[in-house]
Amino acid sequence: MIDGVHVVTASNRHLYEEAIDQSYRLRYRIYIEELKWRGLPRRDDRCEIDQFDTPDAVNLLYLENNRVIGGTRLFPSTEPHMLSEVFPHFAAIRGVPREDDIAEWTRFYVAPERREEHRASRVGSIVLSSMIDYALHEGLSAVSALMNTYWLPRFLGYGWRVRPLGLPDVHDGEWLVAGTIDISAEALAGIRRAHGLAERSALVRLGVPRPFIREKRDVPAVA
Amino acid sequence: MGEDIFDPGRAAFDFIDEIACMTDQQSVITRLDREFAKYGFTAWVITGLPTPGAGRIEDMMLLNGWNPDWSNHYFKHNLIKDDPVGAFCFKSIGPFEWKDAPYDPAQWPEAKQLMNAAADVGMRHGFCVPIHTPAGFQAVVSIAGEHVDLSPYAKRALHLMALYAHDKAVSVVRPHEPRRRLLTKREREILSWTAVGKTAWEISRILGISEATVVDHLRAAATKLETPNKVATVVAALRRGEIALQ
Repeated sequence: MIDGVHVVTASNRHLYEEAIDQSYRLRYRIYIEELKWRGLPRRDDRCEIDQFDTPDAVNLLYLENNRVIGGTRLFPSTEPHMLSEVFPHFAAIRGVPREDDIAEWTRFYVAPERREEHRASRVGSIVLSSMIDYALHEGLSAVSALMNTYWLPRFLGYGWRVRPLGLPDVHDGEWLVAGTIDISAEALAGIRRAHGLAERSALVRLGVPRPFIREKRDVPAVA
Repeated sequence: MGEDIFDPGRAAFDFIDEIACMTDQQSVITRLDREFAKYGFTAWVITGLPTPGAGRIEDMMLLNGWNPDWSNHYFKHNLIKDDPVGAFCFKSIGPFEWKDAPYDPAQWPEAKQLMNAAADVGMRHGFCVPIHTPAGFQAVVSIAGEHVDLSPYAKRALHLMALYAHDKAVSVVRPHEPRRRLLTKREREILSWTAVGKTAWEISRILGISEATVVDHLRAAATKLETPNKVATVVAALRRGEIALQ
């Protein structure tokens, strides 16, 4: 498979069984072993998989020489999702967004060996910009996310419009805040400019990836 | 009936929306003064901090809402070296009250002296929101006053406000770093031509659009940059890094 950030959805997932498995193992190394997040289900198979790893999830996996070196996940906000089911108190002021054109953004990870000290890694920057790129081309207006507060200055520094959903609070020893990030061409240009990335998509679409916004069936009013 | 109850959460959200489009430094300072005053805070700064022994705080100030006498005194005597609050900013990822910055007054009497001096000029109680990114410590938003609201809910509201206030401070104080583009590509294009002396009519010929459209774009840019005329708009765009001199 060519190097790049591959779009993995329910309809082309059969091409990515190995990569998806790698992504679960990488997530285990990071979220369970390294960050020791307590709310995640513990499994014996050294995979980090939660209740939102369903066919509705879209994974963007950065493959290099067929190895997953980074990735991120998007999920429809119109379905029960992390913010609505597990952390609604973080959206106490503006409410949990539930729109066809808003995706919940969870899990953003870079393989430890590809991180860089004191600066955003190139791999991470490419995954982040690919998330915006994907969202833009899928017609999403925003992504919602529960994030560590230390991401906010960086995202605002990209010129991203981040609107909080509630006040920050501590969870599992960390300060978190929920917000929506507007998706626009300016947002994409902002992160590319900040990290010196080319104005060129890193996304790879193999097979027939499913559109993020599923078409509704129209019910005719009159037979 | 009855008084409006002040809700820090809603106030923080309104504050964030209001400062979003501000580009003028003084407007931001005035707005911060007003918002912090609602909680009883009469002094505040948004500043970088020198690592011990390396540089002076006044070179890293973004917005200074301190009493000028206190400010001058602090800079003149380089009091950052005696400041336990400044020291703790590097260690604490999360916000903290000044009283919780740990130090041993027996071992560090200068620190105790500084905190007493601050209390004497109305900065008895303080709250710090260090600004960290994954790359490390960036800056701090520090606020202080005599009779303040530091209830848990107020602190969360202040924490959120501080994150946005810091970003706004960087945007207005260091406009040559083009962090957030306010203008669209077309607006920047038209301003670039204006900057080299083209009239609206000439630009309309160059771009193949109507003169009225060019004028509309210039008006939109002036609105976004809060400038009164074409010349001021070009200057503001240059200063913000939205356009560059060729």
